[in-house]
Amino acid sequence: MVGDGKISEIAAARDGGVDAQEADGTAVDGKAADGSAADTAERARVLAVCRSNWEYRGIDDASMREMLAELSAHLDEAAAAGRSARDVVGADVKAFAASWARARAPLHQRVLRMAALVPFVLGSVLLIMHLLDRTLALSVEPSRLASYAVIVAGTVILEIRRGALGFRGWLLMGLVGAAIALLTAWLAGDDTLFRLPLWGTLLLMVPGLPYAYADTRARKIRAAAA
Amino acid sequence: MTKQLAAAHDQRRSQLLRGVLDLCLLALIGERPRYGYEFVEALTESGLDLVSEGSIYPLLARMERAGLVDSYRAPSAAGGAPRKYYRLTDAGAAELAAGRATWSTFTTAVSKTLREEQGEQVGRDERDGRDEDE
Repeated sequence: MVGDGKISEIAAARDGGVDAQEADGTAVDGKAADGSAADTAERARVLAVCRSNWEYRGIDDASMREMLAELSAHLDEAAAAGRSARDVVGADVKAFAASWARARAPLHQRVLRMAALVPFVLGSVLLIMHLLDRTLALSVEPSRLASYAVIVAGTVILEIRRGALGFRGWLLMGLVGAAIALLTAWLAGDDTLFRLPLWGTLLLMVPGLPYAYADTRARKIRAAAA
Repeated sequence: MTKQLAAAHDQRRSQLLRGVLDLCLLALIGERPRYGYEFVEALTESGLDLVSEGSIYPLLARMERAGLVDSYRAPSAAGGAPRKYYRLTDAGAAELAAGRATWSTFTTAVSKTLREEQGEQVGRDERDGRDEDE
């Protein structure tokens, strides 16, 4: 990163009309622009990693948005004072996010939320499969089970480490899931393990409904207030 | 060697600050309600540099959960989006008073101990000087 002093020095030299220094000025401006772009990318990465960690650690939606707004405002002011996102959160973003999450909500509260929301998300995915397959009883084969497990585990690990997966990440997870499905089918066969009825899928979603409703309501209230 | 000493000195400062950071934050909120970045500015002005500025947020969250501080959103003087301001509760004021008393007793004891050690060092230096004269 190029300091403000250096940039103003170069700017002063450029004002003096020296050609060589003009060239240097352009180069430094380019470096400053690169530095600024890197800072912006680092800021976005820090916020994404914190968001993922808080989501997976069971912080409710309203609290998470409040924490992100607070951190984002701090990062902006620190950047204006010439300090990086790393100066604010330290070298280990995950540890910072985890520490804030632990302080924000007690473990039992977060575990309850996750215990309700994980089946809710799983139920939502299965409901989509019911709709796609147009069936009231979904066949669950080893290959389907293995690919879902790998995709879920991979997504959680990557998002906790890097923040949002992005298009490439999703593509990669899809490919890995497909490869695991093929491998499992080849190794363990493709016989149906059990058939999941629609009511079973809906039952999975029930414990998470109050949390999903509260999150949606908080989001609407926040949007209306904004 | 000098670098190692400087690193050890920084580490000690950092550890000492970590032990009383909650008290410092309470004292700063006691002066007036503040938002996150203002704490860092005030600490830096007092000569207390944080290794990682963000470490104040878990502490503030813990103190909010414990009912020592509460928060509200208000526009900042500098403009921009509304900030989350922290203010002291009655329980926080009581905790601050107790913390100040503890700190005062502790620093007095530590200062006394360190002075005594300093005195011993002076005594040793004097003895060494006499031995050399003889």
